[in-house]
Amino acid sequence: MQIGFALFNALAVGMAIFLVAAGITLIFGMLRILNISHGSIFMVGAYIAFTVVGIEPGSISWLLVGGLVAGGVLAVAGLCINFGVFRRLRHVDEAYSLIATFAMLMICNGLVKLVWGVNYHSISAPDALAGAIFLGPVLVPTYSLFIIGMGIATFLALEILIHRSRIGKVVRAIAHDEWMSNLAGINTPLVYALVVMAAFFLAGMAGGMLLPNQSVSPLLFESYLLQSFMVVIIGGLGNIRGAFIASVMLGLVDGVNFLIMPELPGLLIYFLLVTFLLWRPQGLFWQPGADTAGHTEKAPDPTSIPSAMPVRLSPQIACIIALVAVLVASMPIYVNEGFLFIAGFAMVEALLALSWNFLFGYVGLATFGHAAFFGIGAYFVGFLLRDYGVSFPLLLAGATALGVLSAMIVGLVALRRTSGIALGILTLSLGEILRRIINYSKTLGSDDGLSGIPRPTLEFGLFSVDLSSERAYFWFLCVACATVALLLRALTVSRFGRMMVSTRQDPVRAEFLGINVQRVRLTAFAISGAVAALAGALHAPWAQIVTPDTVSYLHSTQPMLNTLLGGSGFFWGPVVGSVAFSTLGYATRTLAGLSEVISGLIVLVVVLGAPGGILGIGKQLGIFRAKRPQAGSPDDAREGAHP
Amino acid sequence: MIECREIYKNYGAIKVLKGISLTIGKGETFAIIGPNGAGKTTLFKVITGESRANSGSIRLEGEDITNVSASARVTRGFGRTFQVARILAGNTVLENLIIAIEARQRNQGVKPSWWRLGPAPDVVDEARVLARRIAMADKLGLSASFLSHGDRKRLEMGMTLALKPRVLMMDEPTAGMSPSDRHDIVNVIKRLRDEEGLTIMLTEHDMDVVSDLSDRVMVMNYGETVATGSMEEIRANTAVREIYLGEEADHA
Repeated sequence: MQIGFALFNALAVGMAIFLVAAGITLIFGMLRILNISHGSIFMVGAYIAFTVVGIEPGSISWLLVGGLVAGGVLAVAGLCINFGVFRRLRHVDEAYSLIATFAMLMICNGLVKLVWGVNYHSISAPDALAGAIFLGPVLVPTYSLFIIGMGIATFLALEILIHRSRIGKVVRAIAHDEWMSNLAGINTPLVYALVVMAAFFLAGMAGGMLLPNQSVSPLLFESYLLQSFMVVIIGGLGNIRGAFIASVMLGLVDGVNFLIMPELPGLLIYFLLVTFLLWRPQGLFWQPGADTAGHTEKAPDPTSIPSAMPVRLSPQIACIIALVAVLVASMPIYVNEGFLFIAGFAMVEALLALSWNFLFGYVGLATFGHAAFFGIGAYFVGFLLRDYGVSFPLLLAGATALGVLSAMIVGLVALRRTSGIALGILTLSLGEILRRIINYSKTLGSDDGLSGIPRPTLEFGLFSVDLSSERAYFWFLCVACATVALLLRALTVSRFGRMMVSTRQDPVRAEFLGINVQRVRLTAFAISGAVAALAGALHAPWAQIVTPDTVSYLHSTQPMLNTLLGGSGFFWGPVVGSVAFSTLGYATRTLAGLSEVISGLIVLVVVLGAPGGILGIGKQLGIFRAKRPQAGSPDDAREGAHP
Repeated sequence: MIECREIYKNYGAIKVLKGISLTIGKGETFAIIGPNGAGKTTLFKVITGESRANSGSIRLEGEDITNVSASARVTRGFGRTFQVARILAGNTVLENLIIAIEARQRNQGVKPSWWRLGPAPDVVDEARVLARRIAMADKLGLSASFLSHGDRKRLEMGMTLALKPRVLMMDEPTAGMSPSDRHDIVNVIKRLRDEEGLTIMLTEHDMDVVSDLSDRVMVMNYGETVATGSMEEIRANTAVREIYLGEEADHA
């Protein structure tokens, strides 16, 4: 009867996931926006419901009232967000909509901390749902039955609404072909708004219904977030039936996971997802042509392509660069320790972001698991440096090689089958698998990570350089990061760099220039992984501690945020973004929650208002003229006056 | 030069090519004509390697290339232009040509000098010469995204020529062009044919262009070959007249 109990439990888990995922699926199916913030919206819903019902909701109807209030409030919020954000995101590159919704996630999380604080609250189920009943020989908690019932009811309601009603017909028509629906006289903006409101309402309802399921805390957004993505991906492009089936599947897999390896919670789900993505990247219920009309691969905006030609430095620019270099290098003299620490981190993060944009800006591949490579490098160096005292240059080389190797393996498997969102989710899952394994590994320090990592001494036979002081290692970081960044820059203006930008802009044209697009992508992936691992390797002795957080998907988003804030169309954009973000983080470090709200707002404004990032704004204003260099005579520039 | 045998291609249940066979001799200009939906572009894609045939074989100078990828076919001497020109809109005209020349050098196994930033001077010089050949020397520094339709086609032609192909495949080279642009491009193609002895395969709707350029013409309809021969023979062919007159009757 153990099995029967586990089965009901698994179903309850699955239905809980579905309650959250239904909203993501609706929005994704309609607007083609993978709303990363949905988990946080759900969390806000839970907090609102909690405010209404308190710690001990008296009855089921009281719980429902809480859900309805939360749903109503969020529906109104959804209306605003639709007009403020989603409407502008429908026709931009996927990566931008992912970043924008991630910014919304930051804002929601920050707001929750500001309004409700950071404490945990446990909510007990109302008396009517607190017990358990026998279904045949199986003892089932009534609350599980309640969730299963709610899940099925929600599914049926959506199913009837979408597939059996008039409004559903309109919704499906728009999802199929927005342009044609507009011509046919459908008020598409209104329908979009309604769908978003419905999705947000569902998130609020789920927040209320699932209150007794877990404690309410600012980490609540995480508990369903990734699972609901998986549901959307496995179910197939915004298909509610697919989402329902996928939810049940995930619940069952999670149940099996609990039975066979309780010490590694949630691991099996990621394996399932990875296998699934490789087997059927388009999802369970994808019909060729059915939902993708008008969604053919968009060519990237020509202005977002970084230049693959060398720039000749004007004397002014050279002076500014020299000045910045001196200012940074002399930092240990004039800034305090805390700020120096942040500056060092900023350099490492800048390198990580450069490696990410090497892939995104030049080849057009957005990964969501770049922190995994970073973590591999950091753990490799941290472990061997602390416990075995291996020579540091050797470790750096080893970390780089390890980065190449792991990126090659991932790339060989992933690039063959996936691109776009599927590639993003696949890399994200692989990263999460790695994090869970590290979390489990006692050798790698489990949750606490590796602490007490020493700073090394470089031995050069005749002489040695002691890097154990903060200053010395900071200068070493400056030199190392600058060298790697310049090498990377040199690569982007080489023949290979130009091959990369051609594959990003038009893979078909590149093929018909005789370029093996797949190989270029794989090579870029390997280089990017190597640099990310190297950044991690440099990070470990600076931080002197490496925790599983360095591998988490939240860290994976950092290079993306840095890149887009700085400008993905520029090689140095990620560096500018890292500096901006670090400064922002430093300035708001004492304000829990507020820093997230401010960072999130800034990212949102940049993505919506200036997709070119900070450098893009600078270019538009003509602060610096990014000369498209004319290798050779400057006559060409005059000949071809830019309109 | 090119030999296709019994090519079949289905898209799901729809049979697009039903056993097409053709042979193109070295230095020949071979045109495929036929009404819309006849399977011309699909045949093109199968020959260039963009899509694979369900059955049948393709040979290039005796070598079986049926299972060779598109990019590897390019390294074996294919050059291809598209109905809607494919250029790199984020780059300047000069950079487009440079990228194409460098791609050829790479295919030929020329190693770039590792210390040099940016393209080699000989590559840039070659790009300038090429730009004059396609009459775009005055637009070198212009971003390709600002080019007119005709200029895009011209630039694509230049990029394809930069590869020094042995076989030039052109899908509707004059589609959507103004009469003067059309005249220009026909002259460029003629020069390639007469002076460099290129083997050329093209699809085209404009019969004047077809009869002006081609040595031999193949007429397709519903995925099958209706007739093959010189333009005069095709003009005299009753089956062909039926297709085209039928078309015209539809239009009227």
